[in-house]
Amino acid sequence: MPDNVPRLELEGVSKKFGKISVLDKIDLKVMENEFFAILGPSGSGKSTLLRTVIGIETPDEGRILINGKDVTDLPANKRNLSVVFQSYALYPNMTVYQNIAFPLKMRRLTPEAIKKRVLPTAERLGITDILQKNVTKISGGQKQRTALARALVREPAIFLLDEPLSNLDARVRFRAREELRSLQVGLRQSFVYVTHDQFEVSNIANRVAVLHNGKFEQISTFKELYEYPETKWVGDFIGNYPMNFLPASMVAGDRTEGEAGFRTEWIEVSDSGIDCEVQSGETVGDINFLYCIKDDSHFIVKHDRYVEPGSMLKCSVRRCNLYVDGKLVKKDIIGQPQR
Amino acid sequence: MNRAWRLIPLYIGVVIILLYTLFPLYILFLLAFTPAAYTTIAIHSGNYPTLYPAGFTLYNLQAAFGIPEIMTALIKSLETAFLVGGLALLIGIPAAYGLSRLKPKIASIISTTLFFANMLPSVTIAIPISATFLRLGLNETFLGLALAQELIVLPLTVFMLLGAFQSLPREIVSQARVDGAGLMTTIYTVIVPLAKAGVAAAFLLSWMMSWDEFTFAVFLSPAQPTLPILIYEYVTRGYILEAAAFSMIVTIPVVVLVIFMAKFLKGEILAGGLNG
Repeated sequence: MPDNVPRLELEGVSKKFGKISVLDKIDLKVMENEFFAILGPSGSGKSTLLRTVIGIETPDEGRILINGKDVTDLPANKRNLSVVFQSYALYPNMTVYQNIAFPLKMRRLTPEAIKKRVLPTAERLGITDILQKNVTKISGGQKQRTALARALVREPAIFLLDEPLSNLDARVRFRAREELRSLQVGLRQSFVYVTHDQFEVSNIANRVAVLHNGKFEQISTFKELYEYPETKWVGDFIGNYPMNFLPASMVAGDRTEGEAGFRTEWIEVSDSGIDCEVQSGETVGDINFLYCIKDDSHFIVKHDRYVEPGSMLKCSVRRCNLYVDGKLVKKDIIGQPQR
Repeated sequence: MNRAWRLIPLYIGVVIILLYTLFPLYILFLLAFTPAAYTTIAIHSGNYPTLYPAGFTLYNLQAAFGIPEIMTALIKSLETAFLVGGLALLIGIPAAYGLSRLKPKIASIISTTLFFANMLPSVTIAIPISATFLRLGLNETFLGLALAQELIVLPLTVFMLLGAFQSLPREIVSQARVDGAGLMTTIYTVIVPLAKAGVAAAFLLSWMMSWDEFTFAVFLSPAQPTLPILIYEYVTRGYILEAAAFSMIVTIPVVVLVIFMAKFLKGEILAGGLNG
């Protein structure tokens, strides 16, 4: 579990390119020993955020603190960070050993001291036998391990990982993800994992921050993101299927007009409930996903039978959240949303 | 089979280009190693010189090396060319790196404006430079000549290096910075080795531009000429055979240099770390 000591803090970090605001008053705290994920679709500002933290980009406003120290005006080489880029960014003119040794060499360690740290790191990642190979002659998985080793070889305040698995084979990726997680647990270090793929971080991140148009829509556990998305946008973005939304009103005390948000597994076909028309269906294994339409709203229902498009169905919602103006106002409403 | 046939126009094209570039060299070698009876003397008696080696002689070469100026000219040309190539990299690399960090559009505007000196006729620049160098005592020195040639060489070097640096993946540069490398260390331990083909090509080009440069050489170093000036003098005085032999001597260092640098010019420059 993460400790309560902040390693990386962003306070009101903003960045504009011309007139376009790429980062809009970003606040962020990554704790010691935390596996923190930054999740966002392409164009959300992920890369700019990462580059700003690294020190390749300077923010227009705001402060960046590493271990409580203001580093906003420090160049990249003076911030105590490690990074693994999507492309791994290995130095192609060097061997695996030289790549891993590079950050230590830059810190003017003696060759003996460098060796003392490179060898255990290489062993930890299982790349001892390729140390003398040129990095252009190794496999994708080995490149990824080399990049990780280079990040791990010194003890930075924080590890930044920029889509580190997206260049790997789908089959290797699952294992690599688990390894990454156990690496973080073993090291008791802070990891910031930047990705567009929610399924990469759904199981391994302590907290996930969802970035959209340069702003964090929500920072919480992945489970929270899935069950209680704070905005309609997050509900739409998270999950295999977007959250369903239907106009509804809540009659408890005052009448609240809004939209009921519910996951596909929270609604089922039943004898009574919402009347809707099946527009199309999709069969995945033994489950049928039915795209239903009611008035102007669409939603997806899981069903064990295929239903011809055009048929009418009745569905009942077991639980839902209430959204007003696209924002979550009430969680876990049991029972049918009322029109 | 079909595929092979379709390549024929390509091969014809290659042959034409090779002929176009190599034929003048062939004539040069022919002239240099064929006895005068079949070449210059043949012209005087109204015959067209043969296009094949009608005989072989080393006499022309011996005669050329018998001229005492040739060694000083050769040394001067070499000194100037290497200094020009070296200075071009020394100044060009940081300049091109700086430009490569700018937006490509702005970088291209700046690198284009650098060509200003190349747009003027060299003569108009060479005369005022010569006047200044006379005062500074730089006339007739290879240092002065190299500095002047840098005017036309540097923009091209910067332009080439800029292209080479811009094609490097940005992430590698960022990575080097995060790994703790300062600006200069990043340039010389990461960027230059990665762009070595471009750097080698830039050196080679500036070296060759200097080696062959005429206008500045004739104005700034008339009394102790470089090789191209010497050849020019001999051709204009009618010593065609010696000039041909000189010309051959001029091409040899270029060939040697190109062969020496060939291993830098090719190679798996960007292969590493980019694909999974």
